[in-house]
Amino acid sequence: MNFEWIGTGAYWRGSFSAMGGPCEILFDGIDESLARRVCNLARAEATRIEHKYSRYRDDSELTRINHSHGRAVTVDAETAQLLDYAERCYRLSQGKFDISSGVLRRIWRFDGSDKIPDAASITTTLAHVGWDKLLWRNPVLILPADMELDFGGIGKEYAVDRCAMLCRRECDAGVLINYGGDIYISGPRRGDQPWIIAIDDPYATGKHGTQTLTLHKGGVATSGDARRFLLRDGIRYSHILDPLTGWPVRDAPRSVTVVAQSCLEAGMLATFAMLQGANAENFLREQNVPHKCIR
Amino acid sequence: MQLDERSSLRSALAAASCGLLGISPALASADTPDNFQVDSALLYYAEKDRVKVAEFSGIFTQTLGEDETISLSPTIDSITGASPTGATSTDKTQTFGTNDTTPANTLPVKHFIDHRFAASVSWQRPIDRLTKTVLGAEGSAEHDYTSLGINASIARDFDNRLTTLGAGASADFDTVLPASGIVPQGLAPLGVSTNTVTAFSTPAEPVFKQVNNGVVAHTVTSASGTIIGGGSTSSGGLDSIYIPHQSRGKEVIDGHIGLTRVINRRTLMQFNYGLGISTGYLTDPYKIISMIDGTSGETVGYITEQRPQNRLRQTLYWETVVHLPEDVIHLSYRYFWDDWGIRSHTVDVHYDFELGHGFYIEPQARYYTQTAADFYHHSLIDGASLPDYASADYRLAQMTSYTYGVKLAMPLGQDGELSARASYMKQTGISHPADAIGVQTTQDLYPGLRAMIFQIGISFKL
Amino acid sequence: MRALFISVMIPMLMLSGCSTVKPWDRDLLAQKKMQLVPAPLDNALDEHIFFSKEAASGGQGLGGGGCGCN
Repeated sequence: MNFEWIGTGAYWRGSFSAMGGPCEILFDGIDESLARRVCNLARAEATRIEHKYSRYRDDSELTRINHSHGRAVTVDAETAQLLDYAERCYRLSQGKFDISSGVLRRIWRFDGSDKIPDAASITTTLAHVGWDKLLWRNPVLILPADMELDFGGIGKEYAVDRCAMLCRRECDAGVLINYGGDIYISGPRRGDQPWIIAIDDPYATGKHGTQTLTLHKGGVATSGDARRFLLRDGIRYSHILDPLTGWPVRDAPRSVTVVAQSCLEAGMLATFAMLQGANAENFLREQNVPHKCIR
Repeated sequence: MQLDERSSLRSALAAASCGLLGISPALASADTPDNFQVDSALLYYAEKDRVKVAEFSGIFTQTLGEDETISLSPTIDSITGASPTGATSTDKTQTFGTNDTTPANTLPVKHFIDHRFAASVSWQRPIDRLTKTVLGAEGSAEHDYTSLGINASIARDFDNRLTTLGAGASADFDTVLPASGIVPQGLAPLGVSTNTVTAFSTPAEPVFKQVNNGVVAHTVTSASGTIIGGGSTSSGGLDSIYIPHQSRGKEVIDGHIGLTRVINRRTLMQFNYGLGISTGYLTDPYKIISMIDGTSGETVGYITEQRPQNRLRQTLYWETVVHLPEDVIHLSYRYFWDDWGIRSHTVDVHYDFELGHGFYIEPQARYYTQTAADFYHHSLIDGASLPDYASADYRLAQMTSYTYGVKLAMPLGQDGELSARASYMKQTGISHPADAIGVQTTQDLYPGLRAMIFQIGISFKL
Repeated sequence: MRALFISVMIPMLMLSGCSTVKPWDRDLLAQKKMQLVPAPLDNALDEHIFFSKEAASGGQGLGGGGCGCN
């Protein structure tokens, strides 16, 4: 873990790798030793969540579930809560958000090329997609063979909020947690000053975004990825897949940023907005959340 | 997705997220904190042998939006005790009215009981990112005084918020309703008789007894004892003349401009200039002045006081706050001057000793000194021509005051504080002025004042 | 008049560029105890006492009267 004082911003910054990307935590208003200690605790929590729900680890809880070959699996309280949450989101989105849609990544590779899978492979893969195909009765889960769960859509936001709660418990200061663009601010900076977040412009990746967001407290999440897309016949396919059709959502914004009370809520609203495609802006306006769509 | 579910989707998601995190949705607050701040205190002020005040005061502030608040501040006072009348002590017994006697060599005081209710409301809101305004109103009522006022101020930040320029103005409309029902004529003599010094009500006007909203004519006695005027005996007259309770108005307009500047990372300074104009009835209807025989120095009578109908006041105020390695020091200086001839200096220092974890102890010291008003006289020579204005009110005399105090505070919960303060205030003046005559040289013509002040306070956020 | 000269000098000194603090570096200044009036209620109660017992009043920028005590 790298820990340093950022003079230009007057805050402590702890940075590490987790959840598949760069993570940082900014502390304002506490001394170095406390910031360091809290940062270590947060990093440990983020790593714990990552390992527990990682697709790539043999010893993860998710792997245990995904390799259950149709047999009943009893999950612990934390996993049960995540499954309940995933189910609620599935229902609220009327099936568009589905954590069993991960298998579609086998046939869709968003590498900027023009390789689109054929209709047959889409159909066969879709047979293994759908929350209504599995059985979830707390605490028992029966996942049919060939189906897979993927917590990618909620894992990072969940980790952000969990770490935020941990920080809030350990210290009084305003803390900004940023795990790869999923952010939660537990409180303002000293003197009740807001944190200032720059929103990255996907048209100009790497340069500083022109939009800034000032926030005293809340969650910020961004859905969208400028680098993962397919381009064919002049149509850009974003990497957000519609689990009902097996195809990427059409006319989705390149990036959606939402501000809400928690990172989980912000992330889910951003995802829901992307799934609306052309209707993303209307959707967010109706939800009455601060947001930014970049097309 | 059912779009017409609208914000029910949002609240469903919010509830679901809170459920996953194991927190109650009520605790997850939005970006703009919607909080209610309570600051309240109980104060007890006690002068040695004189006035005692018990007071409750509070400031209740509700946040309405980003940088916008509204606050209400009620105050209730219960005032009892005795206040100097302006007459000086002398070597004989003094009697005021029918049975109010002051022993020899004692400061004449008047006993009273009063209750005061006051409330003020203040609305602060930003106009833009750098500018904010405050609008306020206030009112108070005691049984012999009411006040209504409005105020407004504006403040703007400059230079990356390192400088703030502020200006404000206020207007107050007060009404003085003396308890006796009449506003006495100024510099008018009270009656005397021989041996003991006895004062009666002004012989030129009948004695009025208050009945509900009016007053009833009573017995009238002149200086020589002759009954003049109408009415019957002191037990209550049948010839009733109803005269409304007399009152006088007073208007006070104040304005100020101020400059606040961040000097360095540890230091903040403020500099203010204030101007105030008071017009109307500025006299104290209860205060009198002793009339002294020019040779013996004996008190031979009394007259009511009279102050000008105008007063122009100005202040220059400087304050600095410095953050030392652990502690904070607040230092201020005020220079005051007016067209009554009063000039005063005030120096005030608070030192905040941080004890850690939100505990602190704060000693305070204040030095105040003032020159006398042009028309202040400790007493007047009987027979000499009367000045246009005269007052023997000790608060207009040359005087120095020292106040020492200490405050102890401890944190209460997340955002609250519990505190206790105790102070000692001592006022001294010229007890033996050079112009004291005869008997007066044996008297303390400015006994001064000593007071203890105790306060407990509590503040918290809801 | 000397008071006027001093009064003009102090604000001039305060305005000159002798402030070395960066706009974002206001950590200490942001604390409640660093406010010019950190305890408004204490201040109001004290000012009321002094206003009642002395000839002078005002200074901090608060206006108004509203008491039969002076």
